[in-house]
Amino acid sequence: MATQRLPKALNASSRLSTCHRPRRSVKRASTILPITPPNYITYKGPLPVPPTLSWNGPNVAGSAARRILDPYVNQAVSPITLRQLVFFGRNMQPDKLLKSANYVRTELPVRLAHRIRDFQNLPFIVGTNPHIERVYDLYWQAFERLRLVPEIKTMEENDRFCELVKELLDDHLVVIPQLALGIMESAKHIPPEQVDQFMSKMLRSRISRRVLAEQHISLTANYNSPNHMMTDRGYIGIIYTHCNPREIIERTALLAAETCRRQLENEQGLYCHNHQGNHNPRQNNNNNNFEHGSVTKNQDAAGFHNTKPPKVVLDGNIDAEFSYIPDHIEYILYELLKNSMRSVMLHGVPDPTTGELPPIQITICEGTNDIVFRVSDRGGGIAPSMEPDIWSYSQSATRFVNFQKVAKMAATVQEQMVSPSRSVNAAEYQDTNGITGKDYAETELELLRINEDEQRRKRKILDGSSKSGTGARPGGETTAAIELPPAPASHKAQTGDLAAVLLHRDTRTQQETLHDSNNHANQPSSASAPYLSTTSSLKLTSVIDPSQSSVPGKKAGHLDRETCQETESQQHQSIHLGIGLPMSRVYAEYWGGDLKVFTMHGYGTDAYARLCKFGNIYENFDV
Amino acid sequence: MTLRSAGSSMAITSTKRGFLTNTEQKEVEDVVSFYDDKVTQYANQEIQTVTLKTLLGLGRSGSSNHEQGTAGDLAINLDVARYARKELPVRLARLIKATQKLPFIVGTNPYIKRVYKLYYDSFQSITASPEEIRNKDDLDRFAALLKGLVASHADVVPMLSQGFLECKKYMAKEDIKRFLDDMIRARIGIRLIAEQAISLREQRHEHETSSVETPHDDIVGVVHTELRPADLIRTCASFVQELCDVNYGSSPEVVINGQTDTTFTYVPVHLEYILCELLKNSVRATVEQSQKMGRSALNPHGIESDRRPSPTNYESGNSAVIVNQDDDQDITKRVNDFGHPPVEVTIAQGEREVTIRIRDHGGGISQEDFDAIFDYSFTTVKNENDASKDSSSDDSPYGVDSIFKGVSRLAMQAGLGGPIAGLGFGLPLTRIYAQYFGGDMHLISLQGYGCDVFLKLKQIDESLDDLQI
Repeated sequence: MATQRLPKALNASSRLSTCHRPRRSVKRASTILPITPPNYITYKGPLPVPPTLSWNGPNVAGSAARRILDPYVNQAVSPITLRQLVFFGRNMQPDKLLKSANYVRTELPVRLAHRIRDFQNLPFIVGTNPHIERVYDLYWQAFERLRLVPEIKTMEENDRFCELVKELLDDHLVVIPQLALGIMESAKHIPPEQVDQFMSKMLRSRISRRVLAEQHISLTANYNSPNHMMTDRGYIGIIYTHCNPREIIERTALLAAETCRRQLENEQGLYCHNHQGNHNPRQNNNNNNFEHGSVTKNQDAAGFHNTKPPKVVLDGNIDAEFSYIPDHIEYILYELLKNSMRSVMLHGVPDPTTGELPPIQITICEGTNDIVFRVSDRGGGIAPSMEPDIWSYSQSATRFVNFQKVAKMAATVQEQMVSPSRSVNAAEYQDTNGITGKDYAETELELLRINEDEQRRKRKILDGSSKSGTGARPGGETTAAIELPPAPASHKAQTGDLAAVLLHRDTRTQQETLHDSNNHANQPSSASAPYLSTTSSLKLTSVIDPSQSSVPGKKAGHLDRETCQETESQQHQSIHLGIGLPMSRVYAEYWGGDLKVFTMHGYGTDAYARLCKFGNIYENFDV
Repeated sequence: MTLRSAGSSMAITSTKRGFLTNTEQKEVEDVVSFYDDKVTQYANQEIQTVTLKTLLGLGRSGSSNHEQGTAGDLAINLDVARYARKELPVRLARLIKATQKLPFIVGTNPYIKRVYKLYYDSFQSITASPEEIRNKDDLDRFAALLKGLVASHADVVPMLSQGFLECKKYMAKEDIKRFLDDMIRARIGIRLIAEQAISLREQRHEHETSSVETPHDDIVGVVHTELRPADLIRTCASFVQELCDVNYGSSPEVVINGQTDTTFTYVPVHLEYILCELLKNSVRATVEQSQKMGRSALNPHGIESDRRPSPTNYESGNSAVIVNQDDDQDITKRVNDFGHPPVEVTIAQGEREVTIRIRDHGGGISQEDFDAIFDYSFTTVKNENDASKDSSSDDSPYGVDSIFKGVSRLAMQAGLGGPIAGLGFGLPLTRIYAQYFGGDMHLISLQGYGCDVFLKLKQIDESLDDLQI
């Protein structure tokens, strides 16, 4: 009976929604990928919208819909603190889990309703932009489906609810790219301040909803996992209570360096390509240097010879420990490091004696209430003409143009990790670890395409470091730049991609687990279960359509795994999206921190990411 | 003629107002202007803004065209002096008016009143001087007058700060801030004009008397066209270190790096004041933090050092992450004999601006205090004697005697009081100076670690056209 309740609710929801508009198989929406016309900028006609998404404006704005929405809009959100999440998530019991479920159930529609109202307050012309409209429809669908879920009283209902939320999370991966494109196209219809305010609100609210949803899903998954008593080790849902600056930076630095190198190589390729005269110039107009450095990308790329990224030097309270959502902090540091490395690689003056690029200095300062990461580079700084725009969503007409190539974005670092064989390996991985294949199949990560050579090279690195990683750390000392948890690494050395690095970010947890069990080879699942269970739902798909730039003329339409694998070898794609800095600031501010960037043109840039250490600040929705 | 009539009217009104009750009021007995319409008359005149280009451009052609000789110099000098003669009374009158609009209770404060009197006297003496400046003699006389006025104004800022310290309960904080901001900004303009007139005359004088070519080709009045920030930083650093030595017995090193050979066009006295203030804050914070943490040469991290891990340097793959605890390798972190980590000053020459970054290991500013650092908090100035006695005018190389020294010394002395005591007038004033020519100043506090200050200065000649003084 309990299992029947939810479907009924969903049926009711569909029934209700059919009052407004015809809709087919909403549940399948996640499998339908967006259709992006190849020459979008010049494309004037109506955007082909997938049939399931024909949830169109006039009806929604009708009085019936307004009656439904208004009570929710009038309701204030109930913000939470990180600390509350941590305390609540400890020693999970069924009744607590149900409480959590019902909080999420009632809170999400309210938060969605506020954003729906924001959409409705946009100028009409903006609301008719196909990208904006699509996000609006997605929000409505999510709102409708969530608000009709009745109170959750049993664990089975909770499981079903989690399924629903997961599905919605997945559907909403298209939100950031769609919003960015929509805003970019609407720039001439709204004043820049309003755009920035709107985007900030959207992104903050989006983070807040995802945090609530993912936390609950993760708590449920942890609880359901057979050895959940073992899995606690620092993770409470998606929050990690032993965040350590040194570990985080080690992880992100390697990844950022790789991304940068790839990006620059890619641009060099484009540059040469372009000079042969057979390349569409518009596709190069992708603002790669927006955040750092000089004006014309191609000149930059031409002047770039040094493929060795700069070193990263850490000092300050590198062993500080605090509770945070690793996804958030990793994203921030990854973006900052990427920007810094890029500008150092392009503009840094190598040391005359050693020939090394000036290092990036990261200083970690632990204050009474906060922890600050100062990322300081000597990459020439930001040109004065660029400086006012670094935080803006609307100043540059082409800033987000690369979002045309990105269908989905979760704005996490994990999605940067990619390998063409990821999905294959992932399946293998899950099998050995007893994770359900379905969850993991969603974690295909396709932002970077790493060819076989690369993989082989990286495998060496990983193998090398995993050797030192297997030794128990004396007194918590890190002895290698990147540590891999021994069991899965040796197990899966052939996986050999960078994703593995991030997949095991809680190395300490792993090590402790190993300590506990003498025969660790037999228990890889217990070691990796906490992580995988927390992230299986987070590892969301990010798909780039490389066909647009690499295969001009090829019709870019449905993107599925086949397409990706088909094109992976053609070109390494690493795309600069232009949303890194504003998005990072949204993340930093979400739990009451901030992000500031000061530049010394002609010398370098310092970025200061301040995070609240105790997590006792309420979610920050205000813009 | 004007002087006499003004004086007599003052005498009458002062008796009427009955201000002769105690000695302090005696001092300011002749500061009355209720029946004096001249101030209003002048104050109602439009300010003739002048671009720096006018002041500088005129000066430049004078000192660089040697073939023109002294005649050209003189003509330019006369122009500037005439402008000053015409403009200064108007601006002074506006300041006087602004002061008159303060609440009566604030105006009766002895310090405020003394400032008022200073402005009033200056206004009177300039308007009393002959309006026409026709020749060299007129010029010399006018320059001498200005010089006297500038010297007498050296202590205006300390006096204002003391005055408002006493009056802060009678006025809203924002009103005080607005008044002081306007006052100080106006004051900077007045001083620039006056000092330009004075120093141009002095340069010309030097030029005439010495047969050799003037060694200061790049100095045009108060503007230096090839100012080397590195040199100025060095000068200020040694001055501040000396102060610190006197007060604390030791001081940190100041490391200068970045593009140290940068030169740009700026007003050296302004930069000198800014740098002294900022370095003073950094140096003092560093020393106090060392004392607090027990930092010493043998124990560079202080009491926390046992909690720190030993240095681990490692590299891996194509990105190297180095945990750098080995501070001896890094000149910007190596402690000196007293255990003080250095203050790092980095100079960057940008396309349109010069950025100077000052980093210290002084423990930063706590979150609560940070919000107030740019307020005029009046706690730092301890007593008026310090303020009024420091009026001796040392000859600075730019022909301008320094009001700034009084302020910085005061703040340093007052800074002994507590960790934030030095932030009283220094930072807001510093920021006004930094912003005066279109620059800016940002301070970032890394609590428990130190402060970073970014000082962004526009090249004056880059933005000459928009700069109205």
